Amino acid sequence: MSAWIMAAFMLTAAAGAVMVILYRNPVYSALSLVLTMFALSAIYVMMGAYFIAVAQALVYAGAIVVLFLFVIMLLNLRNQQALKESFGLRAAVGALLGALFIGVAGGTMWAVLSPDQFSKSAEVFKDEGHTESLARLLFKNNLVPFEAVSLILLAALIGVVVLIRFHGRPSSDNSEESNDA
Amino acid sequence: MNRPLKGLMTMMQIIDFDWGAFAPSLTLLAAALIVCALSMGHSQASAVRAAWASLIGVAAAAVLTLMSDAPALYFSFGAQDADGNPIALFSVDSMMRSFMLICLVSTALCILLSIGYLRQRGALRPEFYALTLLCALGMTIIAGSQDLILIFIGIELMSLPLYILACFQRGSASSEASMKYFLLGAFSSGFLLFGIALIFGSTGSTLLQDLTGVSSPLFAIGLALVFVGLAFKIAAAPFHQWAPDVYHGAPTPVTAFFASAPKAAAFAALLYLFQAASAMRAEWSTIFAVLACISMTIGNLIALTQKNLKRMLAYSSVAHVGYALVGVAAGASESVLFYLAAYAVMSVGAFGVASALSSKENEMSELNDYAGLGFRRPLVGIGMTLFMLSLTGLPPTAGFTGKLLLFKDAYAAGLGWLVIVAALNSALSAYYYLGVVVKMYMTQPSKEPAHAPSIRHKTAAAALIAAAALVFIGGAAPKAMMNAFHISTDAAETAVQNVPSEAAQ
Repeated sequence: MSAWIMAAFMLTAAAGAVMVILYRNPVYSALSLVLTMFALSAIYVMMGAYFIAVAQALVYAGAIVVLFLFVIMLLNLRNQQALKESFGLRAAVGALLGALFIGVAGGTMWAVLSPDQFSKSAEVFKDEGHTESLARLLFKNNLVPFEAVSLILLAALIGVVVLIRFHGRPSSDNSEESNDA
Repeated sequence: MNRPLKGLMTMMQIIDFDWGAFAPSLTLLAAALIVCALSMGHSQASAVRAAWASLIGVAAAAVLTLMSDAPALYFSFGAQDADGNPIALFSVDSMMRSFMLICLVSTALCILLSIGYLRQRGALRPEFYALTLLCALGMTIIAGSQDLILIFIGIELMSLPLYILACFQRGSASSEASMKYFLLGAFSSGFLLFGIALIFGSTGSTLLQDLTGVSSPLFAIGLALVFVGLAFKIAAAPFHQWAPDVYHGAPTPVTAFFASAPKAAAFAALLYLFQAASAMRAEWSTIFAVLACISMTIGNLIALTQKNLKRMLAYSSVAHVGYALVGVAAGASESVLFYLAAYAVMSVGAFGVASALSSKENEMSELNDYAGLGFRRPLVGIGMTLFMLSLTGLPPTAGFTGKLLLFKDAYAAGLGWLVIVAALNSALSAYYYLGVVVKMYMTQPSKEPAHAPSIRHKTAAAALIAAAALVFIGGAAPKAMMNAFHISTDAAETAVQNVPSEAAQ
């Protein structure tokens, strides 16, 4: 029974992802992403990973996609033609390669994985709480990778400053050149 | 079947942490943070200070790496497996040091090139150097990683600054290059991450040492996806489409950087994974041989038709990735290292000439800009000729030694057909590399400019002299260059013997 519910959530997640790229209206695309995120969160619940499930719903569906929506609305993308791309040879080849990949990878996973493997993960968290085992993973074995991520955030931060200071003000062109001379 | 990974299983010494072994990386980190602090300044002077601080940081890290000769050490950072034994997340050994030195040397040369170029265009910003240092830090993380998660974080830390460095010049070409690079980079990171997830799904571990001897279909698909992601990063054909546009649109010193250091770092990840995945070595070797063949041929054939120097060198870098992949297919990591070092300095040199000669009015990116330059600027002409000879693979240059080592190892590994393809490709490439030399010495510019382009900045001249010296040393005294880059000279033979014995099993 639970395998079927799981499969339903998986299909919902996949359908949401497909809708993200098919919709021409960016707002609909962002809302489809919410659907995918919620379906993923439901899958995590069924696997016993409650903390990740909540974080997924709160952070991705609640914060990140809402931020996407704000940006889309601020940019005021009225012209939906901007997101329209003709279905040319390039798209056809891409679709063919994508289908091939899904066929090979999905087929292999279908052959290798069995439904009861999903319920196995719930047993992992039985002895100790889920947050505890997550913290152990994050702050013991993966402490250095975890800290290294902060450097990526630093790089992203500097990048944003550069883009805004530098590309945001085309009018400042002359003043800077005169500085140089 | 469980062959030791770089002698890992036999005598692995895992310790928590050691300040001495991490001194170069920590120097780089400290320099990055200091330059970040300097970025708060807005003036031209603070940008120059940031540039010199970053140069000192990179040079200090390089010197520390060069001087260290401690035996191979593995670090767990406190990580333990289920039984409480420490597990190796990071290694500091001679191979890691070689990759670090290649990356640091090319980073230092590009910093030198960038100062004059950016100042001329009013784009000299301290942030440029903060990003360069963070990028270099990402490369050192990749160079020592023994864990897929760390490799991924290293690659992201390296890539993110690159996207922004690409748009450091005003104008639509630079912004377009950056956007294109960002989108395709994100796409390739998706491949990488999905592949890592599948590898974790099939082995239950992200440690490279746990990948030895695994052969399941899911693992093979995961590894293939990771390789595709890395092929995007190194711009091997058929995953190279982004490279010409990005190389063309980015500021020239940044292009020089793209072609050298990040490529070497991505090759480090590729080599480590190739070594770790020992179970299907023969199959992967064949796949890489085919990839090398496609990359060399496509790169050289399209480069033949280019009229723009930067685009031509971009396609040539696709071809050079192909040559280096010949070494990967042969399992000859030492000669791949030497080739990467040689390619890094010669491509920085070639792009560097264009960067140093360019001015705000003339980008010096068209081949016609070089007509008759050889006699008007003799020193520049000699330098450019040296870099072009090296890119072709003619003696006495590093490019020649690198190709010689690669071809020898590939032949010994039983890849004779690939050596023939590579040699034919080298002959083909001579046409367009030597075309630049012909242009410089045997043609006259269509309209005589008032004054020929010249190198206006001492820092750029210093970078070019250093690159030319390294290219010459690599050809005249390869042993010296190998020692300088910590590439062990005797291991070149032993590395070759692995593949045939593996295939025989």
